[in-house]
Amino acid sequence: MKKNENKTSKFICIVLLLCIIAMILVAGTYAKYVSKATGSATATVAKWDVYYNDQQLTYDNSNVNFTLFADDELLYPGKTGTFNFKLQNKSEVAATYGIDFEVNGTENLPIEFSLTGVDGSWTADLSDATGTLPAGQTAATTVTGYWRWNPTNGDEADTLLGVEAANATKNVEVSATLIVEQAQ
Amino acid sequence: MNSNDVNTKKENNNISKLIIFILLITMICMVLVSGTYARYVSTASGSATARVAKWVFNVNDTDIATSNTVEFKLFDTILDTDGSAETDVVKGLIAPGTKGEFTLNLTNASEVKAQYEINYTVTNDNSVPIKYSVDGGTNWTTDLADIVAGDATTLEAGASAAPITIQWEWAFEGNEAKDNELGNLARTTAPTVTVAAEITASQYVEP
Repeated sequence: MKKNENKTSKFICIVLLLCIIAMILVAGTYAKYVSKATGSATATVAKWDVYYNDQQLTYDNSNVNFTLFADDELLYPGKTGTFNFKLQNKSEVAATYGIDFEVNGTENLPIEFSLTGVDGSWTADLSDATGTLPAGQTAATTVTGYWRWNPTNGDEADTLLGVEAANATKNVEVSATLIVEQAQ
Repeated sequence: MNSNDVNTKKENNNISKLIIFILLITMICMVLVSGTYARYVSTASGSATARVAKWVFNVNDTDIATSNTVEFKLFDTILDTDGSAETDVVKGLIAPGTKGEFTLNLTNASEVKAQYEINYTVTNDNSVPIKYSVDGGTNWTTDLADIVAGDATTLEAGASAAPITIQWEWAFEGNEAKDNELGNLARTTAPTVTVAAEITASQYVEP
């Protein structure tokens, strides 16, 4: 019994001795100056949040309500009207907008448009509306347009159109494409 | 043993004691008077002192030997595509068309040669399309670790490394659908991009 204990003790001593020798031998390889430091930086993506007439726009809104004429609007000499678009940029980036108007059916109709006010320039081809919207708007930007029956069309032509309209429907159609983009 | 023998032995012991006593006295006297004898005498002493080499490794003026964090202001200055100040984006946020850079200046102010390596980690859970360059814009990658995969570089004592400029950019003309997705997501939970740089400097040991 005692003999076994002695053997075990000797074995442990030898192992410990070998460990110590090994540590001494490799100590030189590990000993050196070492320093480590870290730093980090975080960036947050700005939000994109734009509205047309209080309707939030996503990447591709296929249809929005575009009201230029009232329902069943009748056109006749002396008739005028206005239309408004509200654009609001609640994003964290500035934006630009462009409204591309397309007018159809005015070949024989004396309808004119203006984006520069009733005393501004009038044209049968509604020009594009463009502008900028600053980031974080708390109030909407309103784009106002005007339309009218050309007052210089002449009585004879106006009368002729009225007579023709009694026999065949005559329409004016205006479509608009709105693009709001991040300002560069 | 008769009485004569006893007396003789006693005398011998006394003589021995006397001799030892005399020898002892003689030795003491020699020691005491030794300094008075004239002779050649030389004495010398020497000493050697070794100073421990200092270990100082600066990253943008922060000694990483004493500080385990460094400033890494990669997104602190956000610029427009043309490099001018970004005015179309709310300060501190990134968006398509923004970019920036940060420069790391490494100096081995130690008295030993050092080697260093920089490991970058990019956390970009929402795949924000940011790309990076560390060679002045020649090569770009979406993962910084691709370019500088921890290559160790040596630096002599007292030397500075060439400034390391990390550039980032979110292209303005990129994937519109993806950009919009991120912008819309930011309405509720803003996606973030975090870049961490771990700089390890160690004393250079000859292989």
